[in-house]
Amino acid sequence: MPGGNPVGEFEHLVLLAVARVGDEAYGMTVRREIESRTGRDVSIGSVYRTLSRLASKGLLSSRRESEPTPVRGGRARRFFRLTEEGRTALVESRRMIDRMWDGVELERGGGS
Amino acid sequence: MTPRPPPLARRLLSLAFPPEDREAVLVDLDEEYREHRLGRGGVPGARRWYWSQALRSVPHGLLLRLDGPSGDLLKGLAGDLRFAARTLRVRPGFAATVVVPLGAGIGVCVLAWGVVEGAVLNPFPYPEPDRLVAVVVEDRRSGGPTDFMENVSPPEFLDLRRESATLEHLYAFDRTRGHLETPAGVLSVPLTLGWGDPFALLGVRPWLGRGFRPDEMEPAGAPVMVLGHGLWVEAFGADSSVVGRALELSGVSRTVVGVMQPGIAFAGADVWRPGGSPPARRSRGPRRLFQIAARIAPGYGLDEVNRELADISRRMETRHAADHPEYRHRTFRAVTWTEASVRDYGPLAFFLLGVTALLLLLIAVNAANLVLARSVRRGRELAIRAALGAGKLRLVRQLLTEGLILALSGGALGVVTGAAALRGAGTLLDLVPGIHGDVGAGWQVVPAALLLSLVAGVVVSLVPALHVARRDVRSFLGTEGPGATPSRPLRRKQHLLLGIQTAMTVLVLTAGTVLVRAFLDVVRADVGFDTSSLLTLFVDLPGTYGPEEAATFWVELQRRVDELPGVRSAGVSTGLHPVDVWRRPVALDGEEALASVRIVYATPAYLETLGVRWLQGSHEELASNGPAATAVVNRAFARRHGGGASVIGRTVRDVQEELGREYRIVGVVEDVRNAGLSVPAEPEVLLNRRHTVTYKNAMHLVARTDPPPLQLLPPIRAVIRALDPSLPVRDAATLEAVMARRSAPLRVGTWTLVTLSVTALLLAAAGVGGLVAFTAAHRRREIGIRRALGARGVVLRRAMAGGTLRPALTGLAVGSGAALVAGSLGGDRLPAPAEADPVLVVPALLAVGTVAALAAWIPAVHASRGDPSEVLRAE
Repeated sequence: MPGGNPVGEFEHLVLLAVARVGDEAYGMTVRREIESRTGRDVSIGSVYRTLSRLASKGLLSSRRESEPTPVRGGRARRFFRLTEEGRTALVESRRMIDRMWDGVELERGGGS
Repeated sequence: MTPRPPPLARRLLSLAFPPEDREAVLVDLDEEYREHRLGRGGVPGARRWYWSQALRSVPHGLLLRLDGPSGDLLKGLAGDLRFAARTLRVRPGFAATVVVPLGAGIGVCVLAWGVVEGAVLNPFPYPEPDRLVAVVVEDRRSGGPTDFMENVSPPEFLDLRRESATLEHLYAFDRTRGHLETPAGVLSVPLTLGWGDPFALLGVRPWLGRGFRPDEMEPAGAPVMVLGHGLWVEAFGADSSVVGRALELSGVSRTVVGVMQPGIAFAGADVWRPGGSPPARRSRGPRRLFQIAARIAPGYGLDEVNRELADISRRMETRHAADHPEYRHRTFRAVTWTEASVRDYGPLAFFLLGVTALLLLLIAVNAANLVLARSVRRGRELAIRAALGAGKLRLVRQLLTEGLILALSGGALGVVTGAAALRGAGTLLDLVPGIHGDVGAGWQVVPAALLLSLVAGVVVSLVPALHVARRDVRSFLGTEGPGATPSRPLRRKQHLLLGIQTAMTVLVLTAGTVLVRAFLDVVRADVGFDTSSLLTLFVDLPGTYGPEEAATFWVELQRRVDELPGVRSAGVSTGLHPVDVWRRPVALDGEEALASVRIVYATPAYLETLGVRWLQGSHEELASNGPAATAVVNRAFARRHGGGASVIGRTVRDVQEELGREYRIVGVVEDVRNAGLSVPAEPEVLLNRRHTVTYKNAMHLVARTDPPPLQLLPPIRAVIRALDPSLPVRDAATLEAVMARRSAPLRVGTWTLVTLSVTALLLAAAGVGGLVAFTAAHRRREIGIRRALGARGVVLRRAMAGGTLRPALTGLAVGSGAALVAGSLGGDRLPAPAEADPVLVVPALLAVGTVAALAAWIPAVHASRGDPSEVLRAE
């Protein structure tokens, strides 16, 4: 794939969830966003692992912040945000998918 | 109530996730958990949700560790594992040549360990079996063997019970036989009668019903008994209504109050009953018909028990030596019940376990040489990886990982085969008489196998890894690649491994020779009489026979069997030579009792049937119907106790006999073995059965026959039926079969060791042959050039084979030395009756030497034959 990192399907979902949630993107909110949008029951562990992998690929940036609201003594929470590279990767894969769909006709029910 | 998620699930999560993510994950889940609690599912629904999250997240947490900074080492290891597995998959043949022998070796070790664990270390299903002890008596005059059977009198039991603080639940018992009424007819059953509570002693509860109540232990108590589980199943069809029923046992009606646990055959009994008349009223000595088992009281050890028993023995001597002079020689001592029971085959089992471990080490060394040779063939690959930036440490780690994978695969194979073999062995060992315990595959073999695999893995990969670690990696390309003559450091290591292997092979083979010799000694043992064509069986008269009736019965039985066509002669005896003869103290000339000697009550015809040779006196004198009771002694007795003078005319007395009758010695006979197959004859007294009108109602009948002995079994049974149709007959067999049963553990052990020795020899052949072939393959170019230059084949062959044979010869020398040292150090611990004899190294030396020479010569011949021009062209 020219000019970008290959992104797997679940990574794709996580990137999109981060984009949707915006400033409030951390493990739980990302997990919930995916769950509510796709109906998939997603484990928190897989979300954290994917977030941390995407961060190490440079598609997400993270910052640690103390929770302002008093949750169990206000422990550090890791918030994520799309990097420029992440944005490009998402757009790129959207384009790629669109190009692949171009001209493909599959109607509901499948088969003829 | 604070909303708490399931603590175990939370703990799992915090263990799985790396520190940098742990908090965040837990806080997130806590928050969501709180919300779920308020949802439709309530607390149970929230808990379910949390568990599902936790279980699915744990693997991700572990993988996160690999991704994170702390995961480098793990990731490296995982990579090594993957790479090693791939490398080995590419060469399945090589992997198999290492894994299969290792698996077999580990399997055999697992098998041996299982047998030792199940049959020697822990053969009894009682709780805390190591606290169960037998109280034995040491006779300081003989210094050596300790008697357990029939060594305590009831008053001594009371003394011990009163004075010992370190022993509890003392149980004094006598093993005897009884006639029990069962639905299957009247059976002659082994029974134990005694004082004390056998259930408290063993620490088991009855399977059905109850044990004995204190009042039932009283002489006037209600007559009761407890049945063994095996007897209850076989004779009563496991009918639980038998508890509470009254059955006749040896003429007394007794209520069955309980059934013993399955698998508990304490002292071989099928029936337990209280001892009857009070111990205090019985005589202190010299008759001693009981033995004691006890538990070590909490807080004490065996040493403390023995110190206390020594004190008690001294006090008994002070109090009673005037009336009972034998107290000057008697010391009570405790040994664990297990030790007392496995004495016959324990050393043999440990010996086998040791040799098995040696064989495994041998296999690992052999595998190490293979792996070393291969690491050299992979010189190019290693060099390329080094060129690509793999550090030396990395390459070493890689080789260690490969070795570990090979060994662990072998270990897995070993557990599977070993467990299967153990299951088979359990069935087989049940057939070997005299072995206690239950041998079966348990999970306890898995840690042992894992440990063995790790040790084997280190052995297998250490030398190759060291070889790589010490070398400049570039040299793999030049001097050690295929085609090049092997470098000196490489050859040194190969030769070292080969030497070790040869030395260990000599050790294994010597051990095999020792055992084969011991076995042949036993099988070929001259027991002092012709054991062929002898038939033996055991008849047990019920208590309804009075002394006179019993005497008539034995005379009549012997006469009628003797008259059967095909029977040359027949006799009856309380003992059966050479395997089953009592040991008891006797008094000579009315003096103080001698240390125990072997003793039988037999008819003169019994001696005649065995064919014992007379040294002094005659058969007629023994059989003569004079007023005095007569006896003969064997040569060993006359020498040990005669005091230089003739023993003829002196009198002996069996101090255990009620009537205290004196027997006049009228003859001396040649020794015949009486203490087992492989032990020289002990001093023995043979008392004329005819004068014993008291308590010997169970006798062996022995008949020497012209046709094969078993052919006479039906007519002999018919004779017994004609005399008394209700009599049970036991143990009908040829004497040779009886002896073979007795030597069965040794026979099994010997065959095992022969198999191990052959395996070791084959491995040695593979090791030597493989190394010569390896060298030859690497020296093809050199050989080709030398042949093209006119070198003769024999010179080349000598050069190639000789280079390998030298370390093998060194190994032979070292191995013999080690075998001799081991023999002299542990000679007395060898399984009886093996001896450490330097000559026993010779067969091993010859075998290993010959095999090594052949194994070296054949590939050398092969290598020197090729067409030199072809070899060089291929280069």
